[in-house]
Order: sequence, then structure tokens, then C-alpha cells
Amino acid sequence: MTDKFNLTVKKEADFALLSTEGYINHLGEKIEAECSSLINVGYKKFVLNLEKSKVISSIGLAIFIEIIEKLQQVNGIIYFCCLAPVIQKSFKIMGLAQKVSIFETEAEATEAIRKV
Amino acid sequence: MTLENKISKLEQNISLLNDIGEVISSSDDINRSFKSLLQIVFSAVNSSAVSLLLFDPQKRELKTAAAIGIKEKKISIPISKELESKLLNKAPMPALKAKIWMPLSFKEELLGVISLSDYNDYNEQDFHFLSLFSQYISIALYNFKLQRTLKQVELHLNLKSLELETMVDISREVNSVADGVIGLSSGEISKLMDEITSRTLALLDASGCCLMLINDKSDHFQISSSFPDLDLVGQNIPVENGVLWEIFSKGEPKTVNRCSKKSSSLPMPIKCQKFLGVPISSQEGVLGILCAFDKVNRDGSMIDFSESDQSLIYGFANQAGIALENAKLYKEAIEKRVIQAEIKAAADIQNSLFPKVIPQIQGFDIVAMNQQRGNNVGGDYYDFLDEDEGQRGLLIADVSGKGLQAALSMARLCAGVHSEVEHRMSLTEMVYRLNNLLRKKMPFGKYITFFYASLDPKTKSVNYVNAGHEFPMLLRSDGSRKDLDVGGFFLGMFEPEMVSYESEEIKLYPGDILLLYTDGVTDATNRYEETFGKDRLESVIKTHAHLSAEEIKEEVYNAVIDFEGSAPRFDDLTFVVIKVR
Repeated sequence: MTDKFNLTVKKEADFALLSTEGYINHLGEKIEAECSSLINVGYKKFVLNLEKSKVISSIGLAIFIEIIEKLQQVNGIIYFCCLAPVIQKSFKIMGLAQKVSIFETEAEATEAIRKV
Repeated sequence: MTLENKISKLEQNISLLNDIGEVISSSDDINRSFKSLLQIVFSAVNSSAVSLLLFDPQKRELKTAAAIGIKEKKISIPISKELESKLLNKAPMPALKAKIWMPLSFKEELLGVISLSDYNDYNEQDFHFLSLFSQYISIALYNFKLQRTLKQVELHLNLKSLELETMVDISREVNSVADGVIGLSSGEISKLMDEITSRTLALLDASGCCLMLINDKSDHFQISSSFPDLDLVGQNIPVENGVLWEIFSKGEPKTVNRCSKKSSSLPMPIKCQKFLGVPISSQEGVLGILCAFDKVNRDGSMIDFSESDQSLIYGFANQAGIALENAKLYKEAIEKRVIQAEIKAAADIQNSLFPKVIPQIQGFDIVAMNQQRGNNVGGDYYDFLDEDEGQRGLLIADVSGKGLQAALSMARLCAGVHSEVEHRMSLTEMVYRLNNLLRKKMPFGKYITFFYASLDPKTKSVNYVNAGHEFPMLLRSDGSRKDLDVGGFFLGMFEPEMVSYESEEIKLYPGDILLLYTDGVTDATNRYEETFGKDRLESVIKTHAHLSAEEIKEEVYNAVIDFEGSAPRFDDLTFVVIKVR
């Protein structure tokens, strides 16, 4: 099988916008690695846009949990946006929805994180 | 060491232990804590190098977790059971290359070691401090381990909840079809299959998942849904394909965890190394296969599909089977509804064409019957028309075929006859024109058998044309029978130049009985596949010739019904009884 997963990072002045594309499975480690690098250089606010990802595996969910915990340790925050209904439901069941804010659009998420 | 120095050292160690307590209780990041703790040890005992090695009980080896003073190499040291027992004694012990290991353990469980260099420089107080430090760090490690286990349990429980919730979701969507909440069009079933495939993929941590359905000829599977490789959708795979054939023919799941890339048993064009497939079954057998490929671990390495994976995917396949079964039932219900609507429309047309009342004609006792039977509307038709100079027209016809098409042909005949009668032409000319009229509109291969008689109450005579219809029988009061067989070809099939019609005029006498009927009467069949026939019909009428037309009608009807018994009834019963007074 061919794995297709892409991650793009856009660094704003006070937050980083990460956008995924494709199936989020073990390759989602790229997200965690990118977040860790950004935390190390001082970023503490993140927006994660999942618009182009329709499926997320159990491993992908576990990776997101770790990212959230990592950010909590440095008093950082992460907002998610543009979640497919199935992913949103998975977030709720896995307890992620209770730990992070989820927005319908990227504009709403970035506007909210700028105000924090 | 002087007493003063000892007190100073003791105070320093107490302060360090306090620092250790703070590090342990202030951070959730175990790796960060390790570094801080090692830093404390490093400064307390003046060691040139300190490292923390954690014990992996599964692999039975020590692995570097943090180090200070040396290049942080990831090393693994195998630990025998004998060495583990020694380490559980908690006493410092010399180790590799003149280093000392301070064992870390709690509740008889080896957790790791603190590895220090420069063994010869440590004094008794250092060992005392290291012993206390080891106890602290052991408790911290144990707590971290417990926390990690709790998190793993929580994650595992949440994933199980996700599996259950997903199954409930899919089940709810499938059942909403059965409850009639939504209709299941091909678009909806496709969406449902996509959802089943994508959710199976996600919960199994597979690299790919697809759902394939068997085609009508049962010789190929067609991939109807695939994630994440959408390009596979629409591709055909021969049903004989090794592993797929096994699943299809046995109706059992199949896991292939150990196969080479070249294995011909794998379901090409899907390229994978590990395969799990389960049948999608319904009451009619295997409809398709739901399969997943290449389950991966967190580090990207492939792992075997487990029995619980098989149970999970089986659950999804069962839901897919129910959905497909429901879709089929729904489609059949829709088709049945369309057919029923057509039958009703045809019946409505037919009923509207039959005369509402039977005309009362001086010197004649007339009754008629049409009973629609079977699952579809037949093409039987009778009618009475007003002609010139007190004459009455009566007709009986049978349109080939059934349903709406037959009803529409009947309507055309009805309109044509009523129109032609107005033109006051001869019977043969009228039938000729009717044939020409109907031929232009009749569906290919369809035709109408038609009998028309003009009844003259003044002369007590009948003039008729029989266009291919069952011969009406005239039973004379003297017991003789005459079949009204003069006419020509049936209507609606032949070109005008190919047909010609003749008519015959017959004198009628009191007591004569004229019976017009369709083949539904004479072709009525019993369970021995015998037909009622003309002779039985003649016999029934002759036996009851002394009765009224209404009573004769009842006797004919009862005779046919009794003859048929429990045999299935397909055709309509239509006949007209005319008794001359």
C-alpha cells in the first residue's frame, strides 16, 4: 500500500499553523516532531487544520494525545479546526474534545488563538 | 572527615534530597525529570559520569534513559535472571569498566540502575546518599510507570469505546434503512460502504482497507470502496484469486500474516504483505469481502493482524451484509410498489371502460361478468353500444398481454369502436377500419381478438363479425349449437391489404342462448392441468338453459370455480349471456 500523508507548516508571529493532508496514522509522528521542534524554539500556540484528512487511525489519535500533553507541560495551547464528522466523534470518545478547542473553520481558530 | 564536615555534608545531602523531592513532584515529563535528577547526583558525588538505565522486563535488557558526563549513547545491556536477583538486593555492585551500579527497585520489581564512574572515589557517606537517592528515584520511577500504565489503560479503554461507538454508529445507519427512516439508494449504500471501509481502516491501524462485492455472474469481485488508495475503486479481481476464493467459497475469514511479496495468493492488484479478509454474507450467501492490509505499529513496522482484529472487522462486515440485504429488499419493495401502482392504474382504466349498467333490450335478457384475477390486470373487455334504428351493438374483446400496456390498448379499442359506430357503416367496413387504426398504435407483437354483433330487437336477428376471437356459442332451444366463427384476422397486427372481413346474419328464436366469452373461461385449469373447455361450458348452459340469464351466469361462474378448485388462477373471467325471450 502507498502511504500518502503531507504536513505543511506556516509560522505566524505568535502561533504556528499546521495543515495535514491524507490518512493520519503512524506517519502522524511528523506532526509531533514538528510540534516538538517548534516548542523548542519558543512556540507555544498551535492551530492544527485537518480539513484534508478524512481518516485518522488509533495511532494517530494517540499521537494527538501526546502532543496535547506535551503542550500542557509547557503551558501551551492547541486548537483544531475543519474536522470531518467521523474524526470529531473520535476526538469526543477519546477525550480529546474535552482537552482542546475545536473550530469549524481555520479563520475562527486563528482568530481565537490570536486573542489568547 | 571532621564532625563539622560530616554535619555540613549531611546538611548538603538533606538539601539535595529535598531538591530530588521537588523534581519528582513538579514535572510530568519523565525524561526531563531524569536529566534533573542525574544532575543532582552528578554534583553530589563528584562523579565524572552518571547515567540512568531502565529495565525492560519483556526484552530483559537495560536501556539508557538519560546520561550526564558521557556522550548519551543508546546502549542495551542484557540482564540474566541471576543478575536481576543480585540487583534486587539493592546493594551497590561493581559493573562494566570499573563503574558502579546503584540498583533501582520497588516491591521486588527491578526498575533500572544508576550507573556511576570512578568507583574508587566514593566514600561511605556517598553510598549512604546514593542509597537514599536510589530509594527516592525508585519510588518516582514506579509512580511514573504506574502513571504510564494508567494512561495506556485509559487509551486502551477509550479505543475500545471508539470501536463500540463506531459499531453502534454503523449499526444505527444500517438499521435506519430497515426502519424505513431513509431510503437506500445506490448513492446512500455507496456512502455507507465508504464509512465502513474507512472506519475499519482507522480502528485496525491498517495501511489500507477495501470492500469488494461479487458481480452478477459471480466470476469477479469489484472494489466498491477503498481507503486510502481511492484508485482501486472500480477495479475487478477474478473470483478465483487464491485467498479471496478461499474466503468466498468457505464463507470464513482468512488472515495471511506470513507471506512473501511475491506470493500469488494475495489479492492482486492490491499490493500488501499482510492481509486480513472476512466475508460479507447475507441469507443468500457471500456478497463480498471486506479486507484490510498491512497493520502498522507506532514506529511504522508491520505487525500481525490479531484475532481481536478479525473479530472487529467481522463485526463491520456483518453490518455491511445487513445494509446490502436491506438495500436489496428496499429495491424490491420499490419495484413492487411501482408494479402495484401500474396494476392499479391498469385496473382503473379497465374498470372505467366497462359499461356501468347492462342495457335492457326488448325481447332479450342480458347479463355480463368480468372478474379480474391473478397478479396483473388482463386485457378482457366487453361493451354495449347504441346503434341506429333501435339496434344495439355488443362486443367482447381480449387484448394480448397484461398490465398497463394492455389496458391502454383496450382504451384505444374502446375509443375506436365508439367513434366508428357513429359513422354508420357496415360491420365489416367498421372492423376493417378498426384494424387499420389499432395497427398503428399497437406495441410490436401485440394484437386484439374482437367480436362485434349488431342485435336487432325488431327482427330478433344478430349480424356479427368475429375478428379472431373465441367463437361465441349460440345454443338453440332445440339443443343444437352454432359457433359464431365468421369474420377474419384479429386486430392490430396485419397490414390493411392483408386482411378482409366477412359478416354473418343469424335469426334468433325464443329460448336461444348466446354466450360471448374470453379464453379465461375455456382455458380455466384445474390441478391436473386439464382445461375447462367448450364442451363443459356448453354442458353447463344446456343443463341450466331453463333458468334466467342471471342464473345461468351464476351457474357458469360456479362451474368454472369448482373446476379450478385450488389450482392457481391467472386469467380474468369475462363473459356475456344473452337469452332470447
